[in-house]
Amino acid sequence: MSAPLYPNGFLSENAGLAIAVILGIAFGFFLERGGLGSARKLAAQFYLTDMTVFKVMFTAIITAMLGLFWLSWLGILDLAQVHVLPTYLVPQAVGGLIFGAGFMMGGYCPGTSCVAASIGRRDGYVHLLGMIAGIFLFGEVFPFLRQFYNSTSLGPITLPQILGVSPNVAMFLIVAAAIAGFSLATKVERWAEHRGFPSSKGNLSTHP
Amino acid sequence: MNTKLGFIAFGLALLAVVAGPSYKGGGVSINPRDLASIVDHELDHVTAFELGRSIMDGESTYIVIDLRDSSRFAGYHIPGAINKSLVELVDASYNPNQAIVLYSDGGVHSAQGMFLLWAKGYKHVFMLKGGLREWQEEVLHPVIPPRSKGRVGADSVQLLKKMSLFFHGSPALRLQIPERPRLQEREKMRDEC
Amino acid sequence: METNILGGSTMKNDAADGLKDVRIQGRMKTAQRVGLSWIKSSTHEQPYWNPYQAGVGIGVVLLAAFVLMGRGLGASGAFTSLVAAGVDTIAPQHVHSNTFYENYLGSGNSSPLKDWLVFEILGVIIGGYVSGSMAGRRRAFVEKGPSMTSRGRMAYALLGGLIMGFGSKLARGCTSGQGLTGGAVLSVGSWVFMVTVFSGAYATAYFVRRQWL
Repeated sequence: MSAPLYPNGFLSENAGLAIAVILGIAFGFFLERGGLGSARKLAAQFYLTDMTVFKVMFTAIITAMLGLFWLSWLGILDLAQVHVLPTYLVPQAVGGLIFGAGFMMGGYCPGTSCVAASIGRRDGYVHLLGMIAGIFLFGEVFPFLRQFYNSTSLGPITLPQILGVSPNVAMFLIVAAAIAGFSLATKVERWAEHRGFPSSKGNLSTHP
Repeated sequence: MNTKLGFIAFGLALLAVVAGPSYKGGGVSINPRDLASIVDHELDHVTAFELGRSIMDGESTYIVIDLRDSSRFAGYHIPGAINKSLVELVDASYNPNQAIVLYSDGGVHSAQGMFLLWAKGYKHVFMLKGGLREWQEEVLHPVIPPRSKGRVGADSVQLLKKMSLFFHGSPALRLQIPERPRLQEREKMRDEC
Repeated sequence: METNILGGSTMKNDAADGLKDVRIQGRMKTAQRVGLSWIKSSTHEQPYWNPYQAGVGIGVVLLAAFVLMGRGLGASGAFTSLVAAGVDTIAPQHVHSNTFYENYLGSGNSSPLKDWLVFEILGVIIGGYVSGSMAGRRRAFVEKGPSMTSRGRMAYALLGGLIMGFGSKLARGCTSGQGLTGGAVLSVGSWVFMVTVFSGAYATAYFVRRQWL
């Protein structure tokens, strides 16, 4: 079991940073390829006409999830050294609602706003500024939020643990649900397009 | 193309159901050199100050385990700690990603417990350096120096007092300047992305 | 009529458009093989990839991050480092009033900008630029629906960014960090986060529809 490499000392800190850049380049590349650098496409997800966000995200999640499982099963990867983000149930739920509202309003998430800015979208730049302001605002009110922020800590628990099934079964259920979700999503896209909801297709308005 | 991808994903997931556990913890294996290196670099312990601070700030996701016998535990234990004997400790199973801090009166039992858990494949196990004795000295009854300098200095006086009172101890003012507690320079995985 | 570096033309001519497109695409493929296509962005916008292919691509990158570094990708953390570094530069005393900034600044031995996520975000910007250039999608304008003004859209973007930034800190991450990374390791909080993000967005969609109609 020699992976993950960095926590086992096979990579220096600087090598790790170089890897960060390389992985980032690939990440940004694929995000743009899939169209997630376009606010219109991202927004269309929430008008049901373009389910790209859902399809890309969940495909990525199940790809990595299957990869983690099988690499560990083969003995190549030590899962104990793969960091599982700890759960803080209520702050994450409330933060998620706020995040979702901001996502809808702004049309981007942090990663995709970088991609949008990199391909020239002015609303992307502005969104980045807003995000930085939002983070600063949070920092300033943090002392008042600190207790809430740290509440309902459940540690690094995983879905299999709370569902009471093995990780294998949980994974299977998720993949099956994702595949069913994808075919349903395509049908929903057609229905919503037909109903005239805001779409990501057609000519983009080219006002500078 | 899409259907091909779908079949591959479904196939891999279905295979996983019958494949057996992916995390092969539980068996005993020791890599002596790694463990010795960890101890040498002092990556194996948390200081009383660190532990106290993280409990006080409410940011602690450690499980704290007290390895003494139950009557001593009833007498006093670090808030939030659970009581286990060494045998119970080794028999229990934990989330492999969970950080665990062990303590006893000094360091002997907790060090033994730590090695045993490492041998079982758990990676995030630490001991409280100096045990409960150091907890009493540094957290419950810290010595407040009359003067302090440096960036960390001024805050640490306030912090020591605050922490001591938080745990219902009593800070003591002395004339000699003792060693200031140092924060461990350990690479810490953040809880967020 | 505009010409790009590859000598193709983009004059709109309905009947011959299809044929021209094929020829331009052929030239672009050659240029890509030689590695020159991003020197000047093509004026011909190419279609996006199939979302599943893009998703697999991202999934492999995410897996590589786990295998190499023991951690996944992220985004909002990089901007927090930026903010913390900024606050530390402008008002260092203020930093100590707040454990939030202190956590991000560490012990002061190295710059907070020497952070894995900051470097990753730099890569994201480069990667987006390369992909956008190669596909003729690099253009400076404001994305919005036809019945919205640019100013209005920018205002929404700014306000939305602010709210989103705040939410991302409260939730300890964003769709890249909590969503992709936490999702792949099946962390409960991350999946809860994803559900609430989609819920919050769907709930808000009706109220901001003017941007996109």
